[in-house]
Amino acid sequence: MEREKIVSKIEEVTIETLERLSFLFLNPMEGVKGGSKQDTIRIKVDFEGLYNGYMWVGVPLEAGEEIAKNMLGMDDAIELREVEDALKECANVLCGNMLPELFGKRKIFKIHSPIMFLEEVKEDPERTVSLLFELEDGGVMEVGFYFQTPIEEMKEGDL
Amino acid sequence: MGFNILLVDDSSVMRSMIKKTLKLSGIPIGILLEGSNGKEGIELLHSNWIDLVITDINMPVMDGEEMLDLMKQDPGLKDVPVLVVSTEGSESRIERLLQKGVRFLRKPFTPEMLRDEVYNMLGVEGHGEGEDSF
Repeated sequence: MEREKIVSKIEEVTIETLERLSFLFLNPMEGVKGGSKQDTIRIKVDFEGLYNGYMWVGVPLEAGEEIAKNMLGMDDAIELREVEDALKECANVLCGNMLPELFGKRKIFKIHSPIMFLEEVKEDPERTVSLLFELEDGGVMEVGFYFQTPIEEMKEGDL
Repeated sequence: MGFNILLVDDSSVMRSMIKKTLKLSGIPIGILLEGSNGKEGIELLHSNWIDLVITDINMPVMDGEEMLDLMKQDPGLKDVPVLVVSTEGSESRIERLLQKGVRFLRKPFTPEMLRDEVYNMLGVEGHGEGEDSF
């Protein structure tokens, strides 16, 4: 499977999903590597099916608060637990929408419940794709996939 | 008298989003009950009169499809309308769900999409007072 196709699908689905789910507008950042780790909340969603792996989302705390407030329709201060729950739901929706786009709409994947992602992303360029997005109010959001199978060996689905 | 609606989703944020949409949509609501998995959903269905179930599919403890299967085996629950609101993207699985008589709405949804599905399923005429509230 071509890495460029994965990148383009992640871009497309992330922008569309975040806009619909949390009224957040994102701009893909090209040629920039590695998001800021400071005050960033990272969520991981494991998946199993045609291919196994996980998807992760990293969002700065401030932007996470904005996303959660938009999703919940709140203006007041928001608790960290609510921010984490909102980001978990975002990650869940992103993963659920990306897998059929990548591997075909007839393939069934088991998507696990999103969890806080505390360890480091596996440094393996053959199995990892990650993208950075600029958030409209500042900050950088990271979305990535780690596949157990090398990307080159994966087959595109019946799209 | 309003409709009694049961929301089953393991995400408290998603339950809040759905609740807010329902309240703004002008649908007359009696009670709005919440469960965080299929097992809790079944328990609530056994102890309350429910007019509509809105459920997720991928949930811990008992998923939405298993809950749906239990409902279909129960003469008292088999005719309760069910709207599945899920990230499920597999057409094979969606077809399997539709064959069980449910309606399906994919996440992410707009408030209008959810409102229209609920209006259709409950047979509510018009679009109520909350039409412009989203």
